[in-house]
Amino acid sequence: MGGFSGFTAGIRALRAAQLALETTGHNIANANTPGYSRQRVELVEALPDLTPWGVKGTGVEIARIARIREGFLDIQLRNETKLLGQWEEIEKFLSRLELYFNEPSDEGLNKLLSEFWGRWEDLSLTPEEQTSRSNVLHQSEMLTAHLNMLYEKIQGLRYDADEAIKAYIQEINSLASNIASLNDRIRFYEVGDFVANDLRDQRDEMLRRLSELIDFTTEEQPDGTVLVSVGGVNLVDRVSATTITYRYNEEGHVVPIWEMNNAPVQARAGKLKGAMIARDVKIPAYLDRVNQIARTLIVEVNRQHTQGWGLEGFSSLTSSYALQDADASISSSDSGLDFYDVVSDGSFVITVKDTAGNTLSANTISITSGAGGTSANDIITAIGSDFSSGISHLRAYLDSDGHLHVEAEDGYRFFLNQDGSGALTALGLNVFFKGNSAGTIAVSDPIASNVKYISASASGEIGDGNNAIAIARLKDADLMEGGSATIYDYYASTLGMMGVDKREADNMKEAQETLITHIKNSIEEISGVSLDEEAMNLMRFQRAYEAAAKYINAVDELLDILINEVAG
Amino acid sequence: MRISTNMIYEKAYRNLTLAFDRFIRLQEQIATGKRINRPSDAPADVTQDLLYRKELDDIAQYQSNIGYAQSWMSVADTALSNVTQLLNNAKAIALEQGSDSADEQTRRSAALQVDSIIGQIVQLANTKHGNRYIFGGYRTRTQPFTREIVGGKEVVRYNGDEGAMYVEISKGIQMQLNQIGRNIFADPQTMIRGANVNATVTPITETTLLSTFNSGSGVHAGTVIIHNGNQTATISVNPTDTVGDVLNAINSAGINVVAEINEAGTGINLRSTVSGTTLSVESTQTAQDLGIVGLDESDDIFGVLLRLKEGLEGNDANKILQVAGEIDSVIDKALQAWVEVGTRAQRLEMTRSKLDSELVNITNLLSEVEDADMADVTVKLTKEQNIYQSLLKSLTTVIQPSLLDFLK
Repeated sequence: MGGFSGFTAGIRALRAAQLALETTGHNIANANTPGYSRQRVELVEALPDLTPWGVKGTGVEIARIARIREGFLDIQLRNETKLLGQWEEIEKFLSRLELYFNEPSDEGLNKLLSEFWGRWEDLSLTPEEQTSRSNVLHQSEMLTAHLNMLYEKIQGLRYDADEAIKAYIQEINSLASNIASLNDRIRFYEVGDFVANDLRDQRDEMLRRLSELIDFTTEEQPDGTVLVSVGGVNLVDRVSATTITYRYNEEGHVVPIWEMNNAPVQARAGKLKGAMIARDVKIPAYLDRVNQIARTLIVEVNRQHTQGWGLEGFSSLTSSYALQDADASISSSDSGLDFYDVVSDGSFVITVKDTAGNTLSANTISITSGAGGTSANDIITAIGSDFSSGISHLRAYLDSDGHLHVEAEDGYRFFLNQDGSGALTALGLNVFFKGNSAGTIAVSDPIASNVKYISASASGEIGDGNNAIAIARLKDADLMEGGSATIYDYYASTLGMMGVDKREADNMKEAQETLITHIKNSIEEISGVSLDEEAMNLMRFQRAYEAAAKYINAVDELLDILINEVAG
Repeated sequence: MRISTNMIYEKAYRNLTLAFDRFIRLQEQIATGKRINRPSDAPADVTQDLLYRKELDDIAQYQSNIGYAQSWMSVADTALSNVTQLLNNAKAIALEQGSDSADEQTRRSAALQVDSIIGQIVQLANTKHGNRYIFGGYRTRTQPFTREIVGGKEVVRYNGDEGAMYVEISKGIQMQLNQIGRNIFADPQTMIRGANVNATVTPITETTLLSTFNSGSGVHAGTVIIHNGNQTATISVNPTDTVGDVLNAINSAGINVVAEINEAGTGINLRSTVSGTTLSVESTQTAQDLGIVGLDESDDIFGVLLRLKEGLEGNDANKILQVAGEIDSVIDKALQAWVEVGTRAQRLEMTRSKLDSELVNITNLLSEVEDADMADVTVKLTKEQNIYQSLLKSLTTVIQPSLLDFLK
């Protein structure tokens, strides 16, 4: 035995203890670093010496600094995180949607509908009073303003989703390029058997964050780099990342595409998908239902309104809806009318009176539906394009925007009503509402400027409120869902649907959170830093270091005796 | 199981968040008093919630409608009760002045009284509710009854129409609000009561010859010109005709006039089959012989009262007594209208109390669906508060010490 071999073992022990202490320090320092895996110095016995007396130990050897991590838990975590991201996103948009509808309350659409029908009932009791007419107008404007607001907010939510999608795309690109550059550095460090522990931790963390945004598969390459693939396209391949960008579709919404070939990105989960589901599926369903309510109100109230008489006749009237083809049947979509489909065979009546109120003529205009049916020009011909032809004292013409005008000669007034054909509703003549959706519904121009045009009377007499009653009674009529639901039923079930949707998102989000907590615990159980444990290690390796130092001291003293006293 | 330091914090954080979330939700229920603050709080109940709210709004509207109808009925009630009273006064006058103790003097002053009664009833028939005449049909801004002189004869004209107003008193149930003035005060069937033709054979029948009229001096040949509204018919009459010939000629003239022999069989009555028109026969010799000259004389309140006034002014005891007999039937008519108002008022009151109890029921149902159970929520809130606080307490003992605290 060489007398100096004792030093070798001692130094090895010192070095091992020191490295272990440093690693403990590293662990303590990173106890709160997201994604950090604790590290351990793995020690093995050094190669023994063969001596005449047997195999003698030569101390300790440092095998490597290991990262304590279970790779499959990371994959599980990413799989659940992408679903959490998706449901979080859907939940976020649905909870805002709920806020906009503001139900149940005394400020929502439900209440406004009740107030609206209520004012018609009031009007039916005192149809000749200016105040009851003004109340109908005022309440109708509150109703239409609320519908407009709902439309704007819901539509705005879809554009908010677009902004979110753009931000996620940016984040995905930034994470992808980080992962690519980490790939590069890991490849550089991991020559031979070395493992770039901390870089791998960082990469795993980046992948976790990426999984919040989008779903992907990973495959580790022999050189230590990871291949990240989204819907079959490589987002990160070794050291390079592919950029995602976006284009706008016909509706003006954002579609994520691959920059290299403009192909759409196939996201199946994550926040990106969540925002797209909210924007393209969840929110439009409610927008559509609000539009249905508005369209039903427009058509059904107008249909009844065009039966009755206002307090005053018109001296001129412009149709609310514009025609694209004045020669096409007004019952066909070619006419360009929004509500062409309400037109059926029937007729309406144009009554001409002088300003004293004496009836001069009552003219029935017959309407036929179907191909080759009555066109706007046919109606113009029936009324006549000057005051003498067709109906005396009236003329009709089409303006350059396609609106139909009817005008009376000075000193004459006319009424349009008793419409059994739906033509007046489709054209928007003597109607109460104009517009074609929740976004555009409004009180028609003549009534907004003069409430005397509100058709409360079914007979033309001022004290008659029967047409107002008929309109008020629409509230309990099964006008929606193919004649099986009232407007209230439809609206209430819309909110029921919303509650279920939101609750589903809440539940899914909560379930994913629980699952993820579980997986994170498992990861923490294996990879997390325990300060108690590290404190103990600190003591342990400190003591080991002290002992090794003492051992070297002992070896030194032995040599001292040998050299100075024996040799001396 | 290995516990990392992070895990302790993470778990503590998650537990705290969950406990606090439950706490906040309960607190919201206490603050709003509602179990459902947004659809997702109770997706299964929110639909019903909204429909109950709609029902409550409906009931409030029906109650407001009923309130309006009730005030209308009370106005009508006052008017009709006064009319009945005035008619009884008129009857008393007629009976008194028809007796032998009355003379021209008393009758003249009674005529003034009757004139005043007519004026008062016209005023009552023109009663308004707010700005609306209640007995004029849809013509609520036109005075329904006006006193006019037509052809030298005093009449009360009806200017309203037959428009029926309705009020919705509960879901799908409408009640007529107004009563048509013509039906109460003016006979819808205007008629000319023929004078006694003094036939030699009574009662006259369709086969009676016109030559028996006027004590046997018969009827002059000529025409009878009848106006009904804006329709006119000219009938030729020969002295050799029978009564039946004349009746047929008038009935087939196409002017909506029915001619018939009166109940006593002493003369011919003409009746319009359309309401609201003025019926008159021009004063030709032939018409005078047939006893059918003049304007319509109706059975209605004003017709009777005007005839009473005429009788009093003309000091005609027979006419006064005849009218005294007729007054009973018009009193009946006024009473009928009055009773109708009472019936409607009663129906309104019943519906209102039914709606009141419905209101209570639905409010309760809504409350069950929507309101937070305060006792329950308060207990739960206290529980959650305890959980939250003990969580915090236990955390301070778990998190605070680590081995590092004990190392020197």
